[in-house]
Amino acid sequence: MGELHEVLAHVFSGRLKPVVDKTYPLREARAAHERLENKEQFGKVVLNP
Amino acid sequence: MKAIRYHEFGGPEVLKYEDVADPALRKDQALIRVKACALNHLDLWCRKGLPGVKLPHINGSDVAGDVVEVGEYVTGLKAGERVLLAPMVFCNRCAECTAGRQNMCRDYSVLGYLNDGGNCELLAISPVNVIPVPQELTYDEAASVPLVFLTAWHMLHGRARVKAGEVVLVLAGGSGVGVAAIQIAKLAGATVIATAGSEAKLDQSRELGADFTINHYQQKISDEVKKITGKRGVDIVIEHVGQATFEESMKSLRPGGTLVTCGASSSVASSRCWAPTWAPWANCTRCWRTFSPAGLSR
Repeated sequence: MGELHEVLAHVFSGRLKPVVDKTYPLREARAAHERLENKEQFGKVVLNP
Repeated sequence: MKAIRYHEFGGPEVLKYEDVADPALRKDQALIRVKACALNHLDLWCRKGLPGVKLPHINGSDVAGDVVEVGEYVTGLKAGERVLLAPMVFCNRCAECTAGRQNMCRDYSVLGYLNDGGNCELLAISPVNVIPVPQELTYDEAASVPLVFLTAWHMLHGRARVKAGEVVLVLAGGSGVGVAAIQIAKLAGATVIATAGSEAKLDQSRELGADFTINHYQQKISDEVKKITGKRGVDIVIEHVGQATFEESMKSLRPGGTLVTCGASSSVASSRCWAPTWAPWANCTRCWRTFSPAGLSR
């Protein structure tokens, strides 16, 4: 947790930027898994419930 | 609530969108409405059948959402707060936990691995895991942070002790750990060489701050590293691919350099066979200062 809070401080201040690749509705988790499995992503694949 | 759950291990087809019971909120927990949950390779491994995963199972380690309700014993959090969740499970009582090294706790696990995770609408969790996020971050962005930024930070700072002026090779710059490692290494003042498998990803890696890029399908990583570093090799390799790249990673290190591993996404099995396969060779050359497995995640 110590390291998590350290790195989050940089994220929250904008020095490190999260990279969202693509979002999918939760029900389309299958397609999201396939995207990651096929190495198509740049950054994070995100599900939205 | 709705959840993505699986009742058997296998390919993506085992994932079922179905109704499950809402979690019961204990008096010492907070109830979170999940707005975004990012995927990790851990989700794929669990789905394929990682030892310890109990069926039926709900994946999901990286969660952002809103606090819906807090239990009677919880202070310092209130309904409506936008939060992300620390992606780990730990006892919060032992010496390691109380020292902030929860990853060394004997009960340590990652959220969504041995227990159900965030591929659902509601999650009841200990308040120590609940971290408020600033308004500037979207839920999708907040969910994209915890596991990979923590892992990359632990690899670069916790293990490799990266310093300004060092040269860091980041494999798979487009991966979750890769996008975090490129930025963390740059922030530390290092020079970054990133690899990726397509021109688009190489461009994106440079936009994130990579100083040099290598197409790992068309170029030999260690040859390019030698050209870039004037035959010296890099100070640190962030190696999270495994079997497919491990030899090239070792060849890219300068004598006395540091290789840090996590994940091993090209082969889970390779993470188990590295030690007997590679340690004798590494010891034999007496070149490598550290061989430092960071574990699945920290």
